[in-house]
Amino acid sequence: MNRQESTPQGASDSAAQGRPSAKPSPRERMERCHSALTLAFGPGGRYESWDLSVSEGRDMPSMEVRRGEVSPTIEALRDDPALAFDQLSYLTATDELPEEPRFRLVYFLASTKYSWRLKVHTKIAEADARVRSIVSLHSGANWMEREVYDMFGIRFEGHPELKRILMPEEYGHHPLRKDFPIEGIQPDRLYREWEAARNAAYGEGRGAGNGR
Amino acid sequence: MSVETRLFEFTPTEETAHGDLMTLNYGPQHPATHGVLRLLITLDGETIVDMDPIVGYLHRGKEKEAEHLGYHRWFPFTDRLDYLAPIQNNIGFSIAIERLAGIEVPARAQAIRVVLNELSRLTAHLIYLGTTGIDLGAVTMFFHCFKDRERIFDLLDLYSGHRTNPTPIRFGGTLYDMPQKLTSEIREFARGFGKSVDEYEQMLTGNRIWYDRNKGVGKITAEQAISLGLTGPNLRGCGIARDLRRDEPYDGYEHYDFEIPIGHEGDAFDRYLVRVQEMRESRRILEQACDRLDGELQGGEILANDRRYVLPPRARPRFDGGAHIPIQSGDRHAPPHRRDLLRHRGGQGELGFFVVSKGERTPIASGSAAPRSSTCRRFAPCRAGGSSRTSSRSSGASTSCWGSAIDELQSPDSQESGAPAAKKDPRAYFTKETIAKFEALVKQYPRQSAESMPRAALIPILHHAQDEKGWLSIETIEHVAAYLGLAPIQVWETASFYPMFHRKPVGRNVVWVCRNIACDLRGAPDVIAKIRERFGIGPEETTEDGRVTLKLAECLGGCTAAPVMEIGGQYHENLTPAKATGIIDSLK
Repeated sequence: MNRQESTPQGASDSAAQGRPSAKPSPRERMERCHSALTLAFGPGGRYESWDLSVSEGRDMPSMEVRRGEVSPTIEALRDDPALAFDQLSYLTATDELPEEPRFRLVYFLASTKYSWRLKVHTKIAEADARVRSIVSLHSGANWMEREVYDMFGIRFEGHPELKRILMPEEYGHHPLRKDFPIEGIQPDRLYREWEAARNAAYGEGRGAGNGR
Repeated sequence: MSVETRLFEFTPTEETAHGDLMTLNYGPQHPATHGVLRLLITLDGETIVDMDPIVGYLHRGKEKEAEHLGYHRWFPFTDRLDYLAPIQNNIGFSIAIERLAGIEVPARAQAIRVVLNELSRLTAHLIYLGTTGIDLGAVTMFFHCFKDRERIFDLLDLYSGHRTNPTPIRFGGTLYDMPQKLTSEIREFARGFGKSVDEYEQMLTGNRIWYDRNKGVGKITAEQAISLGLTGPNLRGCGIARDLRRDEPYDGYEHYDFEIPIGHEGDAFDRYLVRVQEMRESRRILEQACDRLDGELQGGEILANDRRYVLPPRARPRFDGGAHIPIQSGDRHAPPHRRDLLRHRGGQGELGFFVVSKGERTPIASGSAAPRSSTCRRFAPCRAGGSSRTSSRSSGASTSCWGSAIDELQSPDSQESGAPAAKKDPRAYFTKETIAKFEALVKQYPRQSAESMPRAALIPILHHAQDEKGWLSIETIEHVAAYLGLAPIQVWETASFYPMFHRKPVGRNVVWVCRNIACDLRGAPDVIAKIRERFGIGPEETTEDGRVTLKLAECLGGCTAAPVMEIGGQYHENLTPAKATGIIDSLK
């Protein structure tokens, strides 16, 4: 039981020696990240032929890619040593109804090596709401993709077990869509059964709470 | 089937229905989940081979509410995202909006936020320590941690008038100033808290149960941690020194001097050590922030003076009903996708808020990237990894909400906890006679298998070992362990439980004087006093010539002839001080 070995004291910054010691402001960090991305994806860059656009943002640059290229782009971002976006911070979608295409899928990537952040986004139409899963690239995407599927109804192809995560599996709606009412919609089958059970117990129209 | 029953139904797989595996439904309500969490666990004996976490029982649709309520009115909701460290959520949301709208927060407000942030971190870490302790049977930990947590709540109460969900943060600053009287209270708390952390460590770090249930449990490699998106203490426990307070400072964290503790092995024990060390660092930050508040930042503003976004301070008269001022983006014709995800370091890891503004009263979309979902997701690699004996213990160490629950009894790698036992040769260490006694003994006890030795023989064997060596040194204990195929710690903990095993050198004669109530009433204190006077030794002491060691026995069971003492297996009854010293005098 040699606990000295695993005591973190004193060892705190050994892994951090290689990091830049100066602390750039969020703006500077964004600019550095942006120029590295332009170098790779812009004219004359390694990925020049890819059809995407890189732009500056408030605290992180953003890249707009076509739906089919999300997965290869994220893979290139992860594996390129000059970029090293090795961590997926967050993955979500926004519903911009009534715009068309209505969904925008947003991936937030982080580079633990350079302390950079980046968002990659793509537009998705309701009629064909599917995109390649990136679980094989970032295993943390597993639940986030399930959540986006659950909340927006965007399907992720190649996901190991794409099922709802927060709502019941048979729930027929996607709550974060703009056309979903804030009051909520009770799951029909469960609601009917609940109503039948309640009526059996208390009689028609009685009982504590009406569930809707 | 009723609705309720259907919600909990699950289908056994081929393996679980007919094989040796068993599926266990755990939760969603269970005392050890500390919240609603359901786990479908596939067990092989007591080892978890697969686990499917099912969340969503507490899904409240906060993002949807945010889209309808608007910025200011959603503020108190952020507290409830994580009720263990509510202020950290306030700060995270606030920073997201500030960066979105370009609000500059005054330095004094930033320092106040740092104080509140670190206090919140402590409350969250204390919950982790206390509840994980109680799940492992260390009830004392719970009370100690909650005692300190209560003091933090008192401080928050003094500051804001609320204990758990105070919402003292506003866009552009804080709601209240922090008077000097309060900073001195916080400083006093911080000073004393260092000692509390030492106490926690004394109770847990070297504790055998704590060690066994955490060491080597839930190991995560650095690559796995990054791929899973882990942040916070869970990431640092894997040896990656990444901390947003240093790497991407916010709220003026660049002005503070603190260390970033990291682990080495990525197991639950390292994550525990990281958190404990972080509490010490938080304490340091608290002191520095209080010094800054009373020093260079004294009398500064606490709220940005930008009335487009920032609510007026409480003391000034409100216009427009206060809470209904819409936040407006600087440019009403701004491009529709102005989206910011700001990450800030919460108690359990990075916390991000994603807000999309179209310059209207309400955000068109918002989302919160909480550290917990990625942490929860971590169940999966733990379950499938090489150490399939991972229990939810591994997660218990990750966040305060997932407590521990399923404990395995016999850990296969418990051998690790001691020195390698195989190198000891008990047959050379003990005399032939003693070994013969050992061999006679082990025949009397049942064995688990032909090759193994009976563990039940441990206590009589220790008696014989002690008879030969006089006392049980570490060396003796290691040889006994090698003889029985046990870890030395297992022998040690047995030996340390019983007073008749001496773990320090004793004299040739050990005199046990009973000190229980019957003996006590009938004169044992006089006997002990006389022995001290005559031989110059107190309890647990040995005479200089190494002849006699005095020990006090809890009860020798000779009440009818009290007071009683025992020397070398023989009872001496109805003692008087003179009789006792006479008997001891006659010993060799």
